[in-house]
Amino acid sequence: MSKIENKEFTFKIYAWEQFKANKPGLWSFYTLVFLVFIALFSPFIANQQPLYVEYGGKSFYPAFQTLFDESYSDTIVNPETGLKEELIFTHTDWRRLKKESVIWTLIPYSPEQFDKYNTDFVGPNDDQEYRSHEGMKESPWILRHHLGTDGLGRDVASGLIHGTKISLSVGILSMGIAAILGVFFGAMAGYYGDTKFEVTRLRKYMIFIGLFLGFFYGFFIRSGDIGESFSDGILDGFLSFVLGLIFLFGFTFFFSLIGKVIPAKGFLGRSTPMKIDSYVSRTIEVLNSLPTLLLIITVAAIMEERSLVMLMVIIGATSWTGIARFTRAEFLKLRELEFVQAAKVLGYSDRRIIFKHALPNGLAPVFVSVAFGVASAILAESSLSFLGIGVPEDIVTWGSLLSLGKEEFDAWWLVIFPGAAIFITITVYNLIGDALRDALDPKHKK
Amino acid sequence: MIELEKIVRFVKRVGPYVFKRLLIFIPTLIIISLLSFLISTNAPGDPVAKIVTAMGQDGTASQNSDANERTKQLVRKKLGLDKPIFYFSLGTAADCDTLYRLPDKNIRESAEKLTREVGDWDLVSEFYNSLKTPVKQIEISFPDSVLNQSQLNFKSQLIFYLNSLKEVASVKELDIKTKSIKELCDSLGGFELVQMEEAINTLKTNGNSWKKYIPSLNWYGIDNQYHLWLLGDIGLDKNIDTLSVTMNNQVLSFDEFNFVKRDNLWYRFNTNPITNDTIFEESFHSLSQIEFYNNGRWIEVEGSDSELTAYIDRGRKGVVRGDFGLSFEDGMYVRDKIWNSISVSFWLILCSVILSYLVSVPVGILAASKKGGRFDRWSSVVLYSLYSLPSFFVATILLYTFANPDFFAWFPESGIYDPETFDENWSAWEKIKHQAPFFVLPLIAYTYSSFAFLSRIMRAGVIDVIEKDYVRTARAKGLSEKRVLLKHVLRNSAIPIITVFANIFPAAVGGSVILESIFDIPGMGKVGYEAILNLDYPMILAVFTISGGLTVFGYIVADILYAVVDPRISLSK
Amino acid sequence: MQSRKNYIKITSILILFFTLLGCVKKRDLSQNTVVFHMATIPESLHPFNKSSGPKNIILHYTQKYIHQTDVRTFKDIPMLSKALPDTIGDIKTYWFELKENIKWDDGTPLMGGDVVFSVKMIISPLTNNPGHRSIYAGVFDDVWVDENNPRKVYYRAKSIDYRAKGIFSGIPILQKSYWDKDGKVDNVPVKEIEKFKFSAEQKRWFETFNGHEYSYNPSKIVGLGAYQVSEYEIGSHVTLVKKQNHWTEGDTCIYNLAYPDKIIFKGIADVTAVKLALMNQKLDGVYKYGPRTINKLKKKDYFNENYYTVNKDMFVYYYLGLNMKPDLNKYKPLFVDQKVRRALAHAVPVEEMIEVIFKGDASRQVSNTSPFNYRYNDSLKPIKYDLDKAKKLLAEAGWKDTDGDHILDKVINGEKVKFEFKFSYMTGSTASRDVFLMTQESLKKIGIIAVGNPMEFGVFYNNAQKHDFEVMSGAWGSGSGYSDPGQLWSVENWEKNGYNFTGFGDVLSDSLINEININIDEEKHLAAHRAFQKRLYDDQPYVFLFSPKKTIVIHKRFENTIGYMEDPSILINTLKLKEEFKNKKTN
Repeated sequence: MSKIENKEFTFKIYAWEQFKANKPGLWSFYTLVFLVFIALFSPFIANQQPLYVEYGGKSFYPAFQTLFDESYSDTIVNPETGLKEELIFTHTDWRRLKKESVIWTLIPYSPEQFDKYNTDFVGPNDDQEYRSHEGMKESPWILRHHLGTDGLGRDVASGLIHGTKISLSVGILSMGIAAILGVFFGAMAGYYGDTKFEVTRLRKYMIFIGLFLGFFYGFFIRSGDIGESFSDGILDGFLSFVLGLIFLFGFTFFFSLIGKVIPAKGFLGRSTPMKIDSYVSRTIEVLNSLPTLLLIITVAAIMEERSLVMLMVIIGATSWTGIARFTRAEFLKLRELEFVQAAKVLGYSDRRIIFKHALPNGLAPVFVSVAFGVASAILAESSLSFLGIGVPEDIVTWGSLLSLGKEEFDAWWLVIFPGAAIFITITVYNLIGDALRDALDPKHKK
Repeated sequence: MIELEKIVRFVKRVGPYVFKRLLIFIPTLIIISLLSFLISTNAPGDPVAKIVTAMGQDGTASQNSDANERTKQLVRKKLGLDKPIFYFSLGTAADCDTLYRLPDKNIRESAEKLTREVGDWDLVSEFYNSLKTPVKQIEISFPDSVLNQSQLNFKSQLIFYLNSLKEVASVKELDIKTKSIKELCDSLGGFELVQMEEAINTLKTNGNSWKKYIPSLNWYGIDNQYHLWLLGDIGLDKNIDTLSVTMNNQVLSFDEFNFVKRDNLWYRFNTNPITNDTIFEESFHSLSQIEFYNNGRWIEVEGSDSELTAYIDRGRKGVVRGDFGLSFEDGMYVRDKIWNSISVSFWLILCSVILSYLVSVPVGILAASKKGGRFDRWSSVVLYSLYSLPSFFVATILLYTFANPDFFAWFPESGIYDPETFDENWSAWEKIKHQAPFFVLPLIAYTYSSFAFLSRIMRAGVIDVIEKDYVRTARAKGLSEKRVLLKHVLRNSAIPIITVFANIFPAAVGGSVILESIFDIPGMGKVGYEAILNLDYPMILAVFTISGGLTVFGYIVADILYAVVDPRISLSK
Repeated sequence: MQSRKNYIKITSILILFFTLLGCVKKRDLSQNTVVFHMATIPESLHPFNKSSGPKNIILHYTQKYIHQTDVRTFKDIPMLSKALPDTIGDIKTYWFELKENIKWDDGTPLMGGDVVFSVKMIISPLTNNPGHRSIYAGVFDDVWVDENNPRKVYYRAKSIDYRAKGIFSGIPILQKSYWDKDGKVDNVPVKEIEKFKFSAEQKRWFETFNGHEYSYNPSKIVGLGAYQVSEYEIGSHVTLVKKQNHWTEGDTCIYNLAYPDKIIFKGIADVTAVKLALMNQKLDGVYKYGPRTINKLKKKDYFNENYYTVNKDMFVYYYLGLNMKPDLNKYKPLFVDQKVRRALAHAVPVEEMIEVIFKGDASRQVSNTSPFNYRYNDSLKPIKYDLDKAKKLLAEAGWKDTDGDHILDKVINGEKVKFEFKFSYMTGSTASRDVFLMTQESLKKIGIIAVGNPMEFGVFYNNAQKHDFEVMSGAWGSGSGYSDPGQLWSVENWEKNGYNFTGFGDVLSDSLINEININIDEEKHLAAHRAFQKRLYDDQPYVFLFSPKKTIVIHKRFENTIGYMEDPSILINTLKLKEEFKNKKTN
C-alpha cells in the first residue's frame, strides 16, 4: 500500500517538473493566474466608485462601501452653499463633484454605466469629455476611455475586466460538470463493455425501477419547484437540482441493493450482463448527433428566464460526450493491456483497477479534451452572447461587446479588444492542456 | 491467398457487429427524432399566435392584423397541434389526462400545477365549473345601462379577474384573487358568489396531496402529433364509409366529435375538460355541410340526418415516407426547403474537411516525429492561436478586410451567387467559376479552427504509438524512420482521427449557425437557427433529425474503420 | 519526408486555385437593372395570402389596385378606375367605373367581373388570409356589376363606415378568367359568404388557389402590374422583369412608369453585409434603414459620389405599454393610478434616447397618431423629462421611500409593495434593448427598479395579448391612411385578448372610437379623432416615445432619385438610368 503512495508521490513531482519544462504551458499558467486575479478583484480595478474620496470635509471609500450594500448613502454639508446634501452612492456622479481629493480605480467606470458625454462609439484616440464642477472639460488621462466606448457610452475596458469573471466561470463550471459526467460514463462503458458487468435479472430490473422512480420523484413532480427556485436565485435553484440528483441516485442504489440481497431463483435468478457500453454509447451518439450549438440555442431559447448558471449547465450537459468518447476509447484499449489483465488475475477489485491503474493511464487524452473543452465552452458562451441568446442583456460579456462591434464596424476597438480577450483566454487553456498532457503521460515514466 | 484469409477473418470479426449496429441505427434515429420533437414542442410561445400575428419591419406589428381566438383555433387544428404530443404521457394520479385538448398553453400549465398542489382533479374541475356562472350572474344583475362610469370600470376589472381565475396556478394566488374579487363585488354594490367560494373552500380543505406521489401512465393511442409526423396516417383508419350515428336529443357523435342542432344550425362541440362546458368550435348550416379534421385528414360528411358518409380529403405521409410536413413559416414543403440548404452546407463542410485533413495530418505526424523539436513547438503555438480565434471574430475581420473597398474588395460580401448575372442553365464549370469567390471567405472561416484539433489528436496518436514496443522493435530491426512511420505508426495512430471524423458533421452544422448568418449562406445552420427563432417545429425537427441521421451513419463508418486499423479491438464480443 | 513536401504542394495549390477563382469581377453598372435591398424576402408572393411589409412592396410592381394613396400627397388617386369611389343614395353604397384601356397579360380587358371575383376571394373564409380577412369582411356587404355597363362596379358597406370609401386601396385585382376559368366559384355570393356552404369540389379548388404553386412558382404569379416575377429564391432574392408592350406603356402616372428592365429584390439580413454591399455598389436601392448605420457611410467620399441618401420620417412609433389593469396575483397594481403613468412619462428620457439611439434622427410621439397624418392633434405638447415632477406625482400617488433603501414603496391592501417591475421587450431589436437600458438607468434615480425581461417576438406578443406583462416596450407601424383605433384601444379588444394590451378605455373612450368610425363627414370625423388623441394623451396608457426616421439610399446612376415617407419609400419603376452610364462599361 505504502509503496503505491510513494510511487504516486514521485510521479506527481515528476509531472510538475515536466510541466515546468514546457515554457508555453508555464507562461499560460501564469497568465491564467493573472486572469483569475483580475476576475476576483474586478470591482477594485474597474468601478465608477472611487477607492477613496474626500468631499465636504468627509472621507469615503465608495468602492468598498458599495461592495456589499448597493444603496449606500451618506450626507454632507456642502462647503460653498452650506446646504445639507445627500450622496446616494449608486448614482452620485463623483466626477462632477468638487472634491478635496480622490483616488480613482484604474478604470473609473462600471461596465453597465452610461457615460452620456461619450456616447456613439467614441474611440480610444478620439477626444473625450467629462462634466466637472465647472462644466464640460477634456478628460484627463485617468478619466479617459482607454479602449473606447460603445453606442450607449459604456466603457469597453471596464466591460472586458468584468467579462473576465463571466468567461472564466463559464469555462470552469461547465467543463467541471462535463468532465465528471464524461469520465464517469466513459470509464464505465470502456471498462465494463457490454459483457463484464453481470447481475441477476432481478437486480437489473430493480435498477431500472430505481432509475424510473428516482427520476419521477427527483425531477418529474418537482419540475415546477425546481423552476421556481431557479427564478428565486441561482443558488437555490442549483441546490434543488442537486436534491433531484440525490433522489435519482439514492433510489437507484437502494433498489439495486434490494435486488442484491433478495435471493432470486429460476428466471429472475439467472445472471445477465448489463450492457453498459451500449447504453452509454447510444446516449453519446444521440447527444452527439444533434448539432451542439443549435441544441444549446434551442434549450437556451426554452429557458424563459435568462441566467448565466443555466447556460453553464446547458453547455456542460451537452459537451461531456467528447470526453466520454475519448475515455471510452482509451479504456477499450487499456482493458486489453497487460498490466490491467495482470491486476485482474491478481484479483484486485474492479473499483481499484479502474481508479488506481486504469484511470491514471487513461486520463491523458481526457486532459487534452477537457482543456479544449474549456476553450470551446468559453467559445460557445461568447457565440451565444454574440447572437444575443441566453445571456441576460444588461450583463456585459466579451461576446456581447463583439456583437456590438459587428453592428458598427467602424468601431474597430469593439471587435479587436474583446476578440483578443477571448483569443488569449482560449489559447491559455489550450496550451495548459497541452502541457498537462505531456506532463501527465504515464508512458514517460522511466 | 493470405489476403483472402485476412478478409474472411476481418469479416468474421467485424461483420456481426456492423450488422448489429445497422439494426440499432433505426431506434437511435427514432430516439433522436423524439428528443428533438420534445425539445421543439416545449419551446416557449405559441407557433399559432406567431403565424396569425403579422410582424413588420424591426419588430413593429402591423396595426391592421387581427388574430382572434377562433382563427387561432382553426389554424391550430389544421396544423394538428390540438392532439396529444405522444402515444402516452407520464403523469401523476392527480393529473387530468385530457388537458392537451386545451388550446391555451398557459392555462394548461397552470391547471396542471394547481391539480398537483391540490392533488385531486375532480375538486379542481369542480372549481373550474363554478367559474362558469359568476360572469353571467354579473352580466344579468349589473347591465351596463344601470352603471355609472366608475362602476363600469369596476365591472370590467371584476370580469377580468374572474376570467383570469382560470390561470391561477396555486392556492396562495387563489386567496389573493378571491380577496380582491370580494372587494370589487362590494364596491359594485355587493353580492355573493356562493357556488364559487364553496368550490374554493372544498378545494382548500379536502384536497389529498398524496395522490401526486403516485405515477400514472396515460395512453393516448396512435392519433397523436408524433405519430402523424413520423408515420403519417399509417394505422389510422383510411376510409370511413358510414359513421355510426347516435342521435339522442339532437346530439350526433362520431368518435370524439360531437355535433348538436341548435335553432337549425349544426354546431360541432367539444367538452372543455376544465369547465366541462361545451366549446362550440364550428357551425354548419346543414348536416351535410359538416366537415372536420381528424387523424391528419380532412373528413367531409355528406348525407341525411339518419345516414352519413364521410369522405377523406387528403392524408399525411409522415417522415418515413419522406414527408416532413409543411413549414409553419411559409407553408412550403419542408422537404424542398431543406434539400437546398443541405446541399449547400454539405459542399462547404466537405471542402473544409478535406482541406483540414490535408493540412493537419502531415503536420501532426511531423510534430510527433520530431517531438519537442522546433517545428513541434512552433506548429503547436501557431495552430493553437488559430484554434483559439473565435470563428465569428475571424469571419467579421475577413469581411472587413477582403470584401471592403477601404482595404481589398476581392470577394463578395454575402450570399452564394449573384442573382444579377447567375444563370440556372450554365455548365457545372461555369457555375463553379461563378460561385467560387463566394465560398472562399466562408471556407477559410470554416476550416482554420479544425487544424489545431485534428493535428493535435494526430500527434497524440502518433506519439502513443511511437513509444509502443513493436515500433521500438521495428526500429531495432533497422527499418528506415520513414518506413516505420508509414507502415506501423500511421496505421495505428489513425484511431483518434477516426473517432473525430464522425463528430465533424454535426459540429459543422452547429458551428455554421453563426458563420452562415454572417456570410448570409442559406445552409442548414442558418435555416435551423431561423426555424428555432420562428418556432417552426417541422423545420427544427427536420434539421435535427437529418443531421442526426447523417452523424449516426458517420459513426458506423467510423467504427468499421476503427476495426480495420486496430486488430486488437474486439467489437463483436 | 517526401510525403510531407507533396502534401504541402497539394494544399498550397488548392488554396491558390481557390484564391485565383476568388478574384471577383466588378459589377457592370451599365445595365438597366435595379438591385433593391430587403431585410427579409417574403415567404410568399401570393396576392392574397399572408400580407407582410416586404411582400406588399413587391406587389406594388406585379399587381395593380383600383386606387392607391399617392406617396407625394397622401391623397388617394384612381389607378384602374376613372375616378375614386363615390356614394349614391344611402351613404352605404359606392360605385366606380374601370378604365377601358386596361388589359391582362393574355390581352383580355379588365372587367367588373374581375373586381367582384377579387372581393369574393379576399373575404372568403376558405382563403388562407386569417391575418387580414376580417378588415374587409367587416366592411363589405355586397358587390355587383352594373347590368348595362360591365365596367361599372357597385359595392355596399355593412354599415355607415368611414373605412368603406378607401377599402379597395388594399385589394390587388385578380384575373377571373385566369384563376377560375370554368367558373367554379361563380355561385359563391359576396353577401353572407361566411355562411355559404362550399362543395367538396370548391374546397379542392381553394386548396389549389391557396396552394404553394401559386405562391412560389414565378410563372404562376400573375397580375396587372408592369413587371413579371422571373426568379423567386426564398431567403435569397426575387427577380422581376419588365413585360413587353404592357398596357401602361406611355402612361405618365408615376405608378405606371416602368423604366428599369429588371428589378432584383435581394434579401440581406445582416447589417454589416448591407453596408459592405453598399460600399461595393452591389445595391442600387435601400429603403427603411437606420440613419445611424448610413451616417457612418456618409463619411466616405466615394459613397457620397455613388449614392443619393435622404432621411424621411416613418409612420412607426415606439411606446412603453403600462399594464393598467394587472392581474393581481402575478403583478402588483403599479400603474393603475393615472398619476403614476404621467410620472413615468416624465421620468423616461425620451429626448436623450433620440439623441443617443438615433443620433437625433427621430421625432417625439405624443399620442397614437403620427404628426404627419393630417388627423394629428397638434395642440398636444410633448411631456418634458423632469424627475422632480415625476417624484412629486409619485408622492401624490402615495409612493414614497419610507425605509431609506432608495426604492419607492407603498402599502397596497395591507402589504408593503416596492416599486419594482419587469420590463418586457423583444430580443433582436437593438432599439428596444437600448430603450430598456436607458429607462432602467433613469428610473433608478427616482427609486424605481426595472428588471429586464427580453423574449422572442412570438412569446412577446402572446404575453402582451394575455396582459401578461407589467411594462412592455413595443412599436406600432401604420400608414398615412386611416386605421380603426378600436383595434388597439377598445375595451372589447382588451377583454377578448386583442391588441388593447394595457387595458385602456371605458364607455366614453369606446363611444369616441365609435364616433370616429361612423362619421364619414370629415369635420366630425376629425373632431372625434383629435378628442380621442387628447384622451390617450391624458391617460398615458402608453408612454409614447418617438417615431424614428428611415434613411433611403438610391444609386446616383439613376434619375428621379426621390425618397418618400410612405412605403414603398422608393418608386423603383420611376428610376431611369442616366445616359452617360448606358454606354459606360466598368470592369
